[in-house]
Amino acid sequence: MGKLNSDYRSHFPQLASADGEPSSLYLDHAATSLKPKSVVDAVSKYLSCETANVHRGVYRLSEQASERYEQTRAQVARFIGSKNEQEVIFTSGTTDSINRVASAWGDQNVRASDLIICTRLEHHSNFVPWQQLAIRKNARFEILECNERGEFDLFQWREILKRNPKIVALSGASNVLGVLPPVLEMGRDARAAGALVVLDAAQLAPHSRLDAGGDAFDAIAFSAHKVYGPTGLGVLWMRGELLSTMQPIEFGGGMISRVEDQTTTWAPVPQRFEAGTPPIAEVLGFSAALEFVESIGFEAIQSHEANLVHCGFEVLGKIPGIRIFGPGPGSPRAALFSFGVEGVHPHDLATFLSERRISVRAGHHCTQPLHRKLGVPATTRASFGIYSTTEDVEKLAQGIHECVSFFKRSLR
Amino acid sequence: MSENLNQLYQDIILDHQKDPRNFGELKDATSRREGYNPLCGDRVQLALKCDKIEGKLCDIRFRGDGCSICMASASIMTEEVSGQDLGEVRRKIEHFRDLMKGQVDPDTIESDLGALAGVRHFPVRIKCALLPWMTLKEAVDEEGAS
Repeated sequence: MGKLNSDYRSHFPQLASADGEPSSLYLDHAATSLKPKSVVDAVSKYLSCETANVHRGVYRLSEQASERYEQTRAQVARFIGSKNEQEVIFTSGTTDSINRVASAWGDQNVRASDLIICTRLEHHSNFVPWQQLAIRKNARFEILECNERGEFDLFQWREILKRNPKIVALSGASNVLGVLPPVLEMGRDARAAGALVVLDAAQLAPHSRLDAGGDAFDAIAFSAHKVYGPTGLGVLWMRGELLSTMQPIEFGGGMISRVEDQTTTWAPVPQRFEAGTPPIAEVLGFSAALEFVESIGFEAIQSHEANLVHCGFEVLGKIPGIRIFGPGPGSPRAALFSFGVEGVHPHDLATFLSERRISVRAGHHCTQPLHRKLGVPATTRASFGIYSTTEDVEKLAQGIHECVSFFKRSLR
Repeated sequence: MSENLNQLYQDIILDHQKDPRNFGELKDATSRREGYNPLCGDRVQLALKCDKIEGKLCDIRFRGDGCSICMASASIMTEEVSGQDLGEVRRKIEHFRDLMKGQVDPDTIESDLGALAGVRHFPVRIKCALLPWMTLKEAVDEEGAS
């Protein structure tokens, strides 16, 4: 497929300025990404003239839908570096994917006193399911600590490995600090110590090729809507040998083979883990999204993001009283900045910027454990996608400067 | 400069945020209550001194960590309710809820409370303004029950 025209913004209908309306600046990519027209079109096309259910009909429309659905599964497998599309399960999102591992694998395999490890960086979706699993099973739940830059306590990590953890849950990229932990190395070490390694790739998936074919992870979870795709859809990749021994936890149509009066046998993997009618329109939209990303290429994406990060440090760094969390300039970072500004609460900053039609996020970004460690109740976060420009970053900085002046005016 | 922003962040609000009234510890508190908004991290801790026989809120202090709207609302609230009888406190809580719903004409309010009227144009921030009042309601309800 050909390389995409590098005027990336032109692909996003939401960024087309309506006549007379001041343009809006969307800086919440980490919450959900904007969608390229090809994704919108793919969803609309299915809903308006290709509608049929999958795996059920023998008529042509259904066959076509089924074929495209399964082709997308294969496309996802390639996208994440896996050679086996049977290891790709469509779910309703990262949260659903991780919960499924915690239930289907966790409940079936974790025993009392087993050790379950999360990191201080984790999003609630890769923290609470494990915490609750540990409570259910009377297992030990411990947190691998990190510093303000998101660097792990390596001494603690080595101690953890010696205790043969049962499950280690890691994040490929922090949605708050932007840090990119060394998950390949950590995953390999943890698997060598006997752990099931689960990677939350929600923030990492749009940024670099995942390692589903390698030896670092047992399960990978991510969401379509953060990779320029529609909402309501995610992926769970899991090693085939694990899937084949896992009992399903959701039952019904699509995941069965024979349903007798008193017993049922299961469909093969992955259908066994996809009960009910799947989000077909969303899967087809996701296919268009993956094509979009692949046509730009991860190298171009990373170069674009590095440019934004560099600009970010330069202009945001000049704001008096700003505190940027996470790795410093020069260290690898996902294209996002969480920060505090002295004298202005994140909420007030976000409201002020919203009036300037700049959309940033304020709060704890679903990471209460991390914000406790940072010692702040909330931060403001600006996050960038392929459609973001250095101009956007400069407008953000300008908006923050004005906000600081606005709130300073009441100082006596 | 946006008219709405000026309405939201009136000088009175910013003044209460920078110089909150009744902020701090209350040593002989008869009850304490914490309110927390998990969506944004706003946290308010109230300490009340109630006289059950007289049915009066004799004194009130607050502590907390939150946005300017939440902190200003808490500060203004303590000025409104301190020294009032509990029936009046309950009435003032309902009155504030009505103000946030847009059911009260802010011009009819003489105190600093009127400055919070601008919040209703920012629906996401209404929760911030309401947090101290809802926390107070819980505290007063608990006092009434015990």
